[in-house]
Amino acid sequence: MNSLKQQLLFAALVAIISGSCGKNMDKALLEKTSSPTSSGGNGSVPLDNGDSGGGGDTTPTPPPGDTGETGGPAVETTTLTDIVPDRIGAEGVYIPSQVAGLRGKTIALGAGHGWRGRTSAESAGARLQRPWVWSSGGFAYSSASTSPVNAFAIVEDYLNSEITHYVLQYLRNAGAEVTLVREQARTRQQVVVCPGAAGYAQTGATYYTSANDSAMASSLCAAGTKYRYVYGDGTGTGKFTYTATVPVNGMYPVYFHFRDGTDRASAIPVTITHAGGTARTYMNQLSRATAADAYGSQGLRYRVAYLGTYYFKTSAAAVVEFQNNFAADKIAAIDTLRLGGGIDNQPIDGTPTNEERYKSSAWQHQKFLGRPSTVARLSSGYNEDVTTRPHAANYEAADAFISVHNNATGSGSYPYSSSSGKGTMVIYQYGTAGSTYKALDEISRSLGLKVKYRMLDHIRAKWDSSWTNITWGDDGFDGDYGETRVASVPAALIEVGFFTHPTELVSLSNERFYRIAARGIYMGVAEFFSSGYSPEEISGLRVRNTGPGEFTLNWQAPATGTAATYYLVRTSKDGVSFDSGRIASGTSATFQNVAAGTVYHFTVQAGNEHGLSLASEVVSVRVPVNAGDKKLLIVNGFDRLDNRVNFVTNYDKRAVGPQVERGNTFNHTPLYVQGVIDSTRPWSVSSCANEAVVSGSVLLADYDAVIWYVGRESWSDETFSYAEQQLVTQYLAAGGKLIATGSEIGWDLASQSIGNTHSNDLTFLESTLRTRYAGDDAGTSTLLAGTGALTGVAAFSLDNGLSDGYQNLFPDYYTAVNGSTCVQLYNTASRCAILHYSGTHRIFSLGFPLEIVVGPANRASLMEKMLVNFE
Amino acid sequence: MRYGMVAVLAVATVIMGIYLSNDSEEAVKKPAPRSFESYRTDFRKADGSLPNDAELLNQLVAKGIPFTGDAKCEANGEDCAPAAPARPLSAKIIFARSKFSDAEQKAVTEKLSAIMANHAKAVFAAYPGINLESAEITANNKLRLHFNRDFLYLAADEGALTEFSEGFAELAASGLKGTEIFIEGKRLGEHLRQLDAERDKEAQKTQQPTGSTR
Repeated sequence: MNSLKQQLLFAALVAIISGSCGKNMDKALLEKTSSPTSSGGNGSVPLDNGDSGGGGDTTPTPPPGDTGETGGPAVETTTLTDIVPDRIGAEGVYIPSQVAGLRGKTIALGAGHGWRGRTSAESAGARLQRPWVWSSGGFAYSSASTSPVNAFAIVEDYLNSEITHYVLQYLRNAGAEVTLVREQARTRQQVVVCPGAAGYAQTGATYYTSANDSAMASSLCAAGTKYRYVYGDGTGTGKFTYTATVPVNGMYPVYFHFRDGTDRASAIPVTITHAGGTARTYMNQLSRATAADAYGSQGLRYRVAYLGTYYFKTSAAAVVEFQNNFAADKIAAIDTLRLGGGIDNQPIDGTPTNEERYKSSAWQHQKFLGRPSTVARLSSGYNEDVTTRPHAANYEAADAFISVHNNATGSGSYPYSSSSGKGTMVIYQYGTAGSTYKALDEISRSLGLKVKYRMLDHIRAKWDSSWTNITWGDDGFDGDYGETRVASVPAALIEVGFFTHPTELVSLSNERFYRIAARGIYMGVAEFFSSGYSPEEISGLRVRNTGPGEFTLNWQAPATGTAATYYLVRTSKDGVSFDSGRIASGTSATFQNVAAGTVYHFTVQAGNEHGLSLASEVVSVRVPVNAGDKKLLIVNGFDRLDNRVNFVTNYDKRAVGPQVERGNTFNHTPLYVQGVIDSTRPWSVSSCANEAVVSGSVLLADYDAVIWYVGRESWSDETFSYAEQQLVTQYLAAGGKLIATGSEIGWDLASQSIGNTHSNDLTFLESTLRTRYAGDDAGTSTLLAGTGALTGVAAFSLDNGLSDGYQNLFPDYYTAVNGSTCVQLYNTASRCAILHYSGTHRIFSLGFPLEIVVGPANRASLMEKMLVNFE
Repeated sequence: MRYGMVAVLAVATVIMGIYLSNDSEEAVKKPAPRSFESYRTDFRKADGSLPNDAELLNQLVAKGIPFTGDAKCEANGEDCAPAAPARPLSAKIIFARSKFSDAEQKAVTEKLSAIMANHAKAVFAAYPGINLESAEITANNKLRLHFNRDFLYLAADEGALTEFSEGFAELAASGLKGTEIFIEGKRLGEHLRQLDAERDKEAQKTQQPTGSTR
């Protein structure tokens, strides 16, 4: 980074420090400022690289954005700059220091309901708190509360969590600390390292053992486990390290369980080594409560520090290292490290549910966290979930409590029909003047109405302009809702929509809607704290080889919303484990002097002073090995994001992406690139979003061949739009070579009676793609060995939902037309899976998504034969 | 040559512009969700027979086709999962102002009757002694409900109280803005403030001491 930029960033940081930021980070910064090791007051950069004892250096060296992303030759250069990180946001990204947004604010986030125990009036056993919406001989709202088989894949206990999954990302990307009333991590896997147990190591200082139990002595660690502690030395000589190996590759949140205190350090340096590199952040163990209260003394509260979510592999240990580089009169509590969400092991009537922990109620989760009886309460001897939620926020002394719910008409037996209520409403406590009213009610009112109306605005702008506003609740309620009544922090409950209403249920089944609603909620919270908004997502991402050893990454700035002032570009070498990012000041980044054959994968987030957007899809590049290598373009046309492509009950089998954890992860392009590499064919690779082709930013004519994949894109999102059809037709007419792959191309483009069709669809399918649709479901996931141009391709299988991709459903089968020939059959009824045309142009038309071919060797073999044919 | 190139490019651009702007995908209006039942004939099986519910559901899910509930019952004007039949309210609703027309008053009364009937079937089932003694629509459009003492049993169960309160939200469509609940003449909020204080004391009794700071 050049010194001017460095100084600008530093100046921005100083401005933030001297501004009126939230209490916790302020404390951290002030403490560092007054530290005797920070002489002159100018060594006060909160997140330095462990060199805070230098004294007097007015331009402290920022830490690198990440140590894992620059694995190429030393001569490689890029226009991207390293980041001055402030904290870790969602999915392990760095939040740049210039983000003021919600920095220093602690938001307690609730997703009402979840698995709970009985009340005194109920029979024994665990239960969901709301029934499934289901189907059996017609659609009804079922009272079968545990039914796993359902039509709409909707049960409020999980639906709320689907939405808060995105609220959480928006809040963290704005710099907020989010304390979870229910667990959010969807992974069932969990790895734990307890103090003094296997995987724990300490060096370089004197370590003490507390007389107190570990924060997790009653759940994750052995009974009687004591936590340890170490004093600061201002230099970080003392290091305590947790090393673990995950059971399966995947994304794992990193949590540190501890008991806080007034004597704890507020900025303990942490280094996390993950598959994508090394991330650095700080942990704050200082008491958040400012005084003793109903929940206990000011200190020794059970807390969880979130240190980011990262991809870990079984082949390399996860290492989390802490240093005692903080003031000598402070200590770090050395307690329990947890990777992953895990399963709920809190017994209900003697038996744990064994469900993923994120599905559990607040009561179950707060008990797991060791929270006292004033938080996880009992009522008549049974767990009381409703008030546990606000009590958890109170216990954490959060700056606000937001609880996300969805609504239903009626009670007990909910009619599912168009006469159901619909729309958005808010709930907050507002007492009666001269009686139950308190000043906090006014603040909750402000919070509640901001959250509701910003969400409503955003839904109307992005999803449905006529979305219903329910004013019932706008004036608050005096007592009716325990979830807001007992909150001692500003609290609001938002009812997003009615899942008993037919059209709202369709919205509530769609992951895009979740993101829109979640952003609206975030916008309300931001407004409540007088922050502006983070930008929306970028579009049209593409990465292209632009010269010898050079490639360029480009994208479009967010089309609407608050302007972006910089971009966070995250890099990966394997397509799944990404670094924490580097900064681009504009909408492009260039890499030069890149070694021949180098492969990189990228995702981009827009940023400004208020926060970061969600991540984009992933694009990949392979630099040519030889000057004469042929040029391949991979186009990602798989945009579908409704629940019906995503929903799986077993989250362990989900694929992983930087943006979406399940179903369509928007990171299938790396699999295609790997297929090219494994094929050993001499092709360079560029890639892009299909929108970049439609906009004219990427010209198909620049490439010797194009792979256009649409995955399970289908009727709603269209496999090939009319504009795309025209561009592909033009490309092929000029002698282009195309691989078209997806499970619904034939079905979508062959004439359908249900609408959403274009008169050119069938012409494009049959005349351009030389493909005749024969049937919607080949009825198998197995293909026979290839013939003709694919001779040498062995039989292979498609993912049945239990491999690393997504489930093969309704793969099309084709018949040859207009000169094409069948070159690979499914293993049933001589149904054709792949057509090949070789004439003035060349085509392979696949009736299934190539990315779900099981086994990299099979993908490589198929890729090799197709590319050889194109050479 | 240069001018020739420019001319060719210009023509190509015009053609391209016409080509790409001709009836693009934006002009295609995506249909609104239809009922589940209405899709059945669109998905005939290879032998011409109609798919059963599970088969049709699999098709719609695989293709991301949004659908709504069962048309059979809705087409017949029935609720697909009928609510409890509305019964006359045990108390007459008093409208504080003549803001509501007779028709509107009738609609509110019927809707409230239906809600209370639902509550009688579900939420009140465990509390049979609950009685709605009077109901009124206040001048500021709040629904004020006066219950007998037995309502306190329900109010002590936060889950039941939440479910009870949520049931009234659909009255928003009638222009109402919220509930005010009284039990034996005292506001629900006041009862609960007292109850919360007692609960806090109880919870603190079982709270473990936090220990020393280190």
